[in-house]
Amino acid sequence: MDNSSGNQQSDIMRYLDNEMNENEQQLFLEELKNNASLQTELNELQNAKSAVLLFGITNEVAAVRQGRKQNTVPAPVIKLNPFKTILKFAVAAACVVLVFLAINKYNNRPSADDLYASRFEAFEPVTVRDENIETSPIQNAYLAKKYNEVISLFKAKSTKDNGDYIMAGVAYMETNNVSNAIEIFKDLLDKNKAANTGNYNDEAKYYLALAYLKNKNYTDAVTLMQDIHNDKGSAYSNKFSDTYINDVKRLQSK
Amino acid sequence: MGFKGKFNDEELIESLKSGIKRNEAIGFLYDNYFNTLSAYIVNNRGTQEDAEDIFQEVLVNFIALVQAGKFRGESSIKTFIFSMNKFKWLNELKRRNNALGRDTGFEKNKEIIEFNNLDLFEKDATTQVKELLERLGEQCRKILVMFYYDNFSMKEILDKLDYENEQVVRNKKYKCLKQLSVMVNDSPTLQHNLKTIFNG
Repeated sequence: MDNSSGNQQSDIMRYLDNEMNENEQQLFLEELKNNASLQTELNELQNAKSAVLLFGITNEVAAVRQGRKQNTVPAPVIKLNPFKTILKFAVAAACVVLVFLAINKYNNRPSADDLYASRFEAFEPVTVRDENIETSPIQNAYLAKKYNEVISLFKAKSTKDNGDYIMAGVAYMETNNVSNAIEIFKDLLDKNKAANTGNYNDEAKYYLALAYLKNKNYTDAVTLMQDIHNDKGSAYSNKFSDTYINDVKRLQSK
Repeated sequence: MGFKGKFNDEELIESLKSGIKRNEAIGFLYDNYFNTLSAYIVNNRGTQEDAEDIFQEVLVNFIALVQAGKFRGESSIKTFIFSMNKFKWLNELKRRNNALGRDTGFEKNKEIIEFNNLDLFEKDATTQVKELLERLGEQCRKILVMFYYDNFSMKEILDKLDYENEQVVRNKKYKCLKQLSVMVNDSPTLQHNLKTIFNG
């Protein structure tokens, strides 16, 4: 082996083994750019190193698994009887309902918070499991419930999708910035009206109605809830029944 | 068997990366998550053995992602491996030509992370790697695993193996790695798997 290939071998291994300082790394990377065979050899050795790591991890996990088998009696996994489970949940749900009815009867005027909580459902953005489609940063932050991040991303984004408005509005509601939520939903409705579209209109009205309720704008809440209730084409028309709207109306007189 | 160590998420990641108390960390993962994750599989058309196999695969994948710096802690470890367990099991059911297992609603944690097949090893990758390292021979296997996985220094390896000096060990390490690289090169699927997780 001549000296130059010996140096090359040494350099590749020192780079692979993180034994180079910053200057040496820079020089090596420069050389890589101009030397295709060196790059190929490095890639192959990196793959081999990865194979060693995978082998090590596999063996160690297998050894722990084996050790557990030898030293413990595994806890039995209780296979659920689906019928019994359903029955249990049904009985529990029935008890919950009975208790709720009893309490409701006793306190027959639900508070604004009660009314809000009984109707608020977190928005679920449509997720598409397709390797070619990336989920947006806003959606990722929303799904991870990082609401402050959702708000920052929304503010920074120049072209906002209608779904972004909903996620940002809900993020404001979840972080108790209800007035900002109201502004966002109203902006979306105005935007749709100007563009003569209805994309996410139902969601905007639904969450706006709840935001009004939470913000104690009972008159606006009642008006909007009535509109939604009367609009049988709305996805949320059955969310605000006559009884519910009457309960909100009662809050106006408190 | 209970392992002594108690780890929070940060400590677990550090241990899995550095190798310090890694055995304890893996045991901790078993102690704290195996029962819940295996119950999901057993209640969704799997056997106890399926549950153990899948959990082992999940841990191997998870540790590989941690070591490659691809687990950034955006979700908890629990959520992450729970999601991976579910993903792998549903894929396994598909592979066995069953109808997709219906969620029994058993899991209480509704936060689920979406994976795609690019994030995870295929099942065969670990078997292939094992075969290659066994074909490599014991001495090569020991040197490479001690250096790259156990993070032993050259001096420590020299103390354990019968070579003249560190330079001889270095040269042997290079030859072994080179030999392994030729074997890996012969398997495009294995190359792809390794690149995706470690070098992607």
